[in-house]
Amino acid sequence: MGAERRDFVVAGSGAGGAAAAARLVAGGARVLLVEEGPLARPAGDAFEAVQRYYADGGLRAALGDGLLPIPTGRTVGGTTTINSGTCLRTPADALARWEGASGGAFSASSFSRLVEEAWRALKAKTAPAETMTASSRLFLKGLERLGIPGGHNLDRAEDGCVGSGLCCFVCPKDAKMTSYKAFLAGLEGNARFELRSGTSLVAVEAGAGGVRVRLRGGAEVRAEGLVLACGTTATPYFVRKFRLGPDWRGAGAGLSVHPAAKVFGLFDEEVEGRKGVPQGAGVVDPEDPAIRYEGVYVPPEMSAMTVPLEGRGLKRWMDAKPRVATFGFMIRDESRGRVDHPLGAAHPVARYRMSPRDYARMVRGARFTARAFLAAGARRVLLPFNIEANEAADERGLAALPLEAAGPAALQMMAFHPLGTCGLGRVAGWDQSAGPGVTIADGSVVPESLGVNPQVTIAAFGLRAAESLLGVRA
Amino acid sequence: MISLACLLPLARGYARHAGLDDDASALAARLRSRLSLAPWWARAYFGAGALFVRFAAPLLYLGRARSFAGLTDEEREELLGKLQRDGRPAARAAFLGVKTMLAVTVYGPRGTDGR
Repeated sequence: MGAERRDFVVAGSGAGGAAAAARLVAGGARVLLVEEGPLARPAGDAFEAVQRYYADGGLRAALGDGLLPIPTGRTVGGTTTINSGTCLRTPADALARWEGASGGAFSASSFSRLVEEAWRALKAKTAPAETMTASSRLFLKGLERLGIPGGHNLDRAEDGCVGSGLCCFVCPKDAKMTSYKAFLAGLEGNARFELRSGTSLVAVEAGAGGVRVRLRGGAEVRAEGLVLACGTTATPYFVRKFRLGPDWRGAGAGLSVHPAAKVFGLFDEEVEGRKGVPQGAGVVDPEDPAIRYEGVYVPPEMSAMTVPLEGRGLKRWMDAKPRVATFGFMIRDESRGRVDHPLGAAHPVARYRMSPRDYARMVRGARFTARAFLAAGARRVLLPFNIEANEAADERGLAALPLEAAGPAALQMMAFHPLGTCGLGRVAGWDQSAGPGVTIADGSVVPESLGVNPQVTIAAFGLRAAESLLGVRA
Repeated sequence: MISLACLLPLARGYARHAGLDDDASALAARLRSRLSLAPWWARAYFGAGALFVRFAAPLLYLGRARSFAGLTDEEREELLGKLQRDGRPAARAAFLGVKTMLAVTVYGPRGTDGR
């Protein structure tokens, strides 16, 4: 059988790939979008959702100081299907830096236009107060009592959210605006578009005359161009293996992860963390804008594994769960890691070590969150450090915790926003190209740690990639 | 299921240590249900982690040539704490997977299919 023919192949249906595919189709192109994972359906519970729709069943992690879990999606919609849905625009200072570094090849104003377009497509809107979880309300109450301004409701990609509390485990009401809902669902039935899930890219041949790609199962497709949107941890595999672009050797380095952790607070009242939008509220640290605080909730079937205790201590907090609030924080990291693929594209090996400055920020984030909970009336707080003394009942006890000496290996943290492994200007060109016929449109092109939830930025990069390809066609 | 055979004794001991009075067959059913969702390599990883905790960890962390089940209550508490606090990548990798399975099975919702 001969190769199939399309105008473009898009590999990956996450924030960038979905946006790119939709824009290409709107521009008249025939597009094949391939996605390794299945279409997500509400699962029996959170654990089942993780097994079905998270890459490596949620076991993907970076080696370094310790083990840093990096949950990413393996489903139609990519990580947007399993994220919290929080939307934040690309920071203006980042856009200015990229414009400066690119000599004008990257236009901040043009990109801002695409950010707004992505924002509209995602139906991003402020979470209504009535959907706020008790955890978020308590955190905001604590800020108020401490006299710290700036607490606010976060903007989210949703359409009809009723606060089911399962954003990260496939919304049972289908109310989250995943990249599938925002960009692809409307293309069903369009003769120029095909979504082929359960398959993945295996090989790429690219040149001035176009690309030839091979998919798992043996199908071959010839196209004018390939949009690589397999995600920060997978795209570098293809760039290196198939030597895409003049700077392919650098692919895999430059990994930023946006480390995050959460604090537990035990209250007298029932908290019922599940009711409401888990990540509905937030605040920027008043003294260090590299630290952001955002709500978080983990369902009961998953929560025990996130508690930095074992044995009877764990049991004590799990017994008290109806009265336990949680709130999280994350930092714009200066640390950088890398991703390699000795086991192939599907099982990346990431390495990441945290700098002392980043660690200091994590300590500050933990203390700040704990202070807010104590101010709101928490009887006890539990901080995300795997050390003996990680609980406190008051400010004095909190101040006495030896967190600074504990070190990054003690942190119970996760990283939800891996970026940068094919950064613009370092691996990808400033036009997102990786040699003739190949464009990259996922988190791997983001050239620095954003410090904000990146799905809007990545979607904008998808739109930008498509506009560039359509412009070349024209 | 080999991984079930590796994990179940540990899950029982872990639940008993936490003071959770769990019906053995219900616990086994929940564990089987959870394991069945994972691919073969993850099940192998969880099973290996269980064997590590049951047989290697008491010697490595307590200097006791006994299985997890043969430890005293206080020794089990000490061992679990040390496993939780060991931040070295190899140790975290050895414990993280099995803790995932233990936590979700023992502390997750009851019911024959974990729902």
